[in-house]
Amino acid sequence: MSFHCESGTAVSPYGSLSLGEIKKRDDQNELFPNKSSTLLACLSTAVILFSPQVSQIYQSITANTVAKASFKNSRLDLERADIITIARIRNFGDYLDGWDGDGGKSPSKAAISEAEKFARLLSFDKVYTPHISLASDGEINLLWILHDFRLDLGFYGDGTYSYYGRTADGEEFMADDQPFDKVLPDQIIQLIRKKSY
Amino acid sequence: MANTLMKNSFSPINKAHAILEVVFFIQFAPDFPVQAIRKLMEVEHELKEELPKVSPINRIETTLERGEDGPKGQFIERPVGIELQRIRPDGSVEWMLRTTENIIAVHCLDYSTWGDVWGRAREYFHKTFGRIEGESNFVISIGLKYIDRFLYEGTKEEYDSSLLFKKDTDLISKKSFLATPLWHCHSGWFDESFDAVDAVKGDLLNQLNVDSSYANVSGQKRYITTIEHNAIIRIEGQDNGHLRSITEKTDAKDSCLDQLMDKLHNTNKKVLSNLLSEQMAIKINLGTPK
Repeated sequence: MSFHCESGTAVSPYGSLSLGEIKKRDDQNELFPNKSSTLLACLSTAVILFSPQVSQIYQSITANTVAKASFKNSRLDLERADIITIARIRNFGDYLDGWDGDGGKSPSKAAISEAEKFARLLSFDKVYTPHISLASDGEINLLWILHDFRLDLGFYGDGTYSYYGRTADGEEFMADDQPFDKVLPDQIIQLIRKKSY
Repeated sequence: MANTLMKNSFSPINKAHAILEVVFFIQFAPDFPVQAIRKLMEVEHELKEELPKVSPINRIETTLERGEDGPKGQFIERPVGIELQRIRPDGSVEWMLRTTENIIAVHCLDYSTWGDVWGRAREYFHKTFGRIEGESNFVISIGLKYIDRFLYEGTKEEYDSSLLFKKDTDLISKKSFLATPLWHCHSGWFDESFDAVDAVKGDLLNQLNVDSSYANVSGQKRYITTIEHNAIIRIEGQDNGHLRSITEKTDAKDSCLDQLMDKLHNTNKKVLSNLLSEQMAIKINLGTPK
């Protein structure tokens, strides 16, 4: 038996599909791979015509779909701290040598990648978002200027980062050659932590 | 003053990255028996913290016959699986686990890094695998779907797809470089050089669907380019040992399933490296495939 759907809509686990789409996907064995009878998902309205002939839509073996995506036309919240930070770092990939009009170097791919990996170790919901900038020697800087603490961190892409921090009371924190995938000492994390945490 | 910034009218949809969704999926044969489906559906109790929104998936079967007094219909409804979701405050889906009669799939709609995302998907898979222990089904395919999207922000007249794609790529038609912003190119092929892992043999199917069209983005009609890539290992032979190898629960990060997913991820990287312009590859920090 075959059927032809003229109009209507359907609600299925696969979202809201027109009957034409259900028929097409059903023919492609996407919705109901094991048809023992005519199967439809939750029809709300349908006109079904009996037809003496079965028409098959040809589909190549390489076109068979196993799992469908579920996204709608949404995008992530572009104001999220992690999105802003990662986008800012990746954006430095667009900077060419001489970007500052004074011989400034573009950052290396490794500097971008290592700064990003380090940034991902920060809990963005718990720490303040840093200012991110590019120095003329190609170093990517993450800078926190807070009421009682200032921290400057830099990546050249040599597998390490260095930092210098100073509290309002004059206490200093500094280190060179820290592996880029090493988190900051807890004492520093506490100083850049949002006060609500 | 000389140009000091590389200009590009294309940008990743999420600024930091272009990934809309990643789907990890495993397909079984034959369909799970009713008891196994029930057990799979009970995974909601184990995942109620991580994936609190629960929706059963029901199948309605209809049988229609032409009778003397007009058409006769019979409807039978039965549960075939479950959808477990984590929803963002704006109502959109962040993570989802979906089980049906023959597929277990984990969807991530908030991508960060491969390690983090696969690590979490792996955990969901292992919780569902615990529910089908002792079943005699075969694993017939394992797949990874990436959907990337880019926004085009120029005019129709200025449209130049070589800013997004490598001009010498053999993965899309040459026509795509001569077209207006509305075109599509869908293809599928087997990768003969693919080598699975010792415990599981199979061939690798690639499906690449590139669509350049309109979409509603944040309430505006925009030109967008969507790249859907499926890498699917079709497993050779029907050996139930595959099920054990693939679903084996282990804390080690190099299980059979880890290795297979890693290979699929690398396949996606290779395809994107051959497809995207160098500038866009840097912009999404694509990395070098192994």
